[in-house]
Amino acid sequence: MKDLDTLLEIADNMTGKTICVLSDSCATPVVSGLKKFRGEFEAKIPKNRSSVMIPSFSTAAA
Amino acid sequence: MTAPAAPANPGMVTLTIEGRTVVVPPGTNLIEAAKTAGVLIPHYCYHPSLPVAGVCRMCLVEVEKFPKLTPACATTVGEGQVVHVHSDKAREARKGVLEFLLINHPLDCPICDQSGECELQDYTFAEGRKDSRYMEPKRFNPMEDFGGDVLYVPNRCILCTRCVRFMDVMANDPVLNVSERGDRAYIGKFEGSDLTHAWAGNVVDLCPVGALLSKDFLNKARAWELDRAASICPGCSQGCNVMLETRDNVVVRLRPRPNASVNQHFACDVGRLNYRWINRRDRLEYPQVRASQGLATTSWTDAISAAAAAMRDASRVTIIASPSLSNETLFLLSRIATHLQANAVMTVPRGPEAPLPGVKDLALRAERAANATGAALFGFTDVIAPSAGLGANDLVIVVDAGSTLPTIPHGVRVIVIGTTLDAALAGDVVAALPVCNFAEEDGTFTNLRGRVQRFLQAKAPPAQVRPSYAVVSDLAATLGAGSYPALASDIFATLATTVPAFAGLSYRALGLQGGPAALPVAVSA
Repeated sequence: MKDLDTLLEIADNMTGKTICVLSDSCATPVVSGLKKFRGEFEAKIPKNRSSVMIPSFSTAAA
Repeated sequence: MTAPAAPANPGMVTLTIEGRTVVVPPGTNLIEAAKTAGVLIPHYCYHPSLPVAGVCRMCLVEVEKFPKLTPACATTVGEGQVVHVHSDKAREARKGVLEFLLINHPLDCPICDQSGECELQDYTFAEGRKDSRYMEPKRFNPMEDFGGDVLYVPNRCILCTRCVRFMDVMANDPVLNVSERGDRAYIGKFEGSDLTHAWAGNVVDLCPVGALLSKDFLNKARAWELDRAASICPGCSQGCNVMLETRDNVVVRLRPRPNASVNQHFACDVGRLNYRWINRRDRLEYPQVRASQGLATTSWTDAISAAAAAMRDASRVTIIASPSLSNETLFLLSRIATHLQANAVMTVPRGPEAPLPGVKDLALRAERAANATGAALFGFTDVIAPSAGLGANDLVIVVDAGSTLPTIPHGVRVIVIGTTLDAALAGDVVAALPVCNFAEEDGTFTNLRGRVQRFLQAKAPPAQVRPSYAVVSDLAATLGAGSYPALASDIFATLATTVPAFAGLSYRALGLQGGPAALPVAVSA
């Protein structure tokens, strides 16, 4: 669970501090993913199962 | 907002760094400006003698009104700037940079040659994290021989590119590059070329970590075991400022010492690897005089008076001095030469010149002697065969400083004032007086541009060996050629009042950066 904070910290260290801006753009998806969907990540980690149902996935499994 | 008030120092920029007001010329970068205020901004890729790259990100500082942190090496000063080096924001950023730099850096400080003088160690200790969050295996690349005196350990490399820039810009011999990209990047060597440039050894000093190592110094000593003495490289007449580093009274390394007027931060490979003779063990250790059966060891008093007596009795005296002796010793020798009306000569060894293109007026000079300019000022003439025409009536005084001795024909009586006694000479020696080499005494050299520079004693002399100036001073006193003070600094003071070229100079005025002598013939770059 603390990996999520580590990810944010490392992403912060990468943003705006490098000579090449590719670093910013590679950190951004991680940061926005964690910002918008933190609940989903937190729910998945303890059970190692996704809380999100993907329709096509469930039909294929059925 | 009103226009800024007229600056108090015209032509200068005033700014605040860590609460301290700094006044520097425009165009100065923040690292150099901070240095003048006594603030060290951590940095790896920046080096005062090299072009700015801005790649290591270690010198990130906070400047008020800047949207984000800025690298101090690539930021020039601006009027009224307020710079925070140790603010939380800047420290956090540098902590992050250090963490990234350490991701693939091995924890092998205990077996690393750079340990103790490693900037990565220093800044990690000062600002880094106490632990590592990196769980994955580290990248591994094998060690590589770069040719010359240089060994490359890619695992320790932080890709600051100082070595690449040195070879490109300073040596004008682009042999190194950054190969691959991202976490696979390493310093590569172009196919078929080696670090064989005469100045390539500088990349070892420039490397802030233990990635570029000197093969000569490899595993020889730890940095904290070394004693250091400011000295001058005796290899040629350039007079590069160096640091002689000794361990247990043995010189183990010679490194350049910064001097903006002479060698900036550099020293050539010939100079830095030519130190072993300083430690040679087959030294002349005790004063000796001619007895009924060969040479007999005697006291200094007897040896000096025997030598002086032989000089007085001789009908013709020739003094062959090494052009690598100090100004002090050469000055006293010239006094003896005048007193005895002796012929004062020297032989300056020569070799090919090897310039460092990136620095103005810096080269391994053809004149391979430390003080040929000084010797010429004291009246020693450069001759190719100093022993030509010598016969049984002659007395030769050979004064060496560890350099090769001239061959002297048999039958000529010889007084040796030297560091070693040549076995071929022994049969003709009247007296042998052991003296220190340049690392064992204090003194000054005059370089080819007339810059007088001090060197300090780095190691203790063996046995009963005495400084060359003291021995020559005793001889002068015994001969009646004048009495001189006992200390090198005082002899230099006497010299400065006697020889017009050195007027106004003193050890205090010279400091450790040297000062110019007034050469009779103006020489310039």
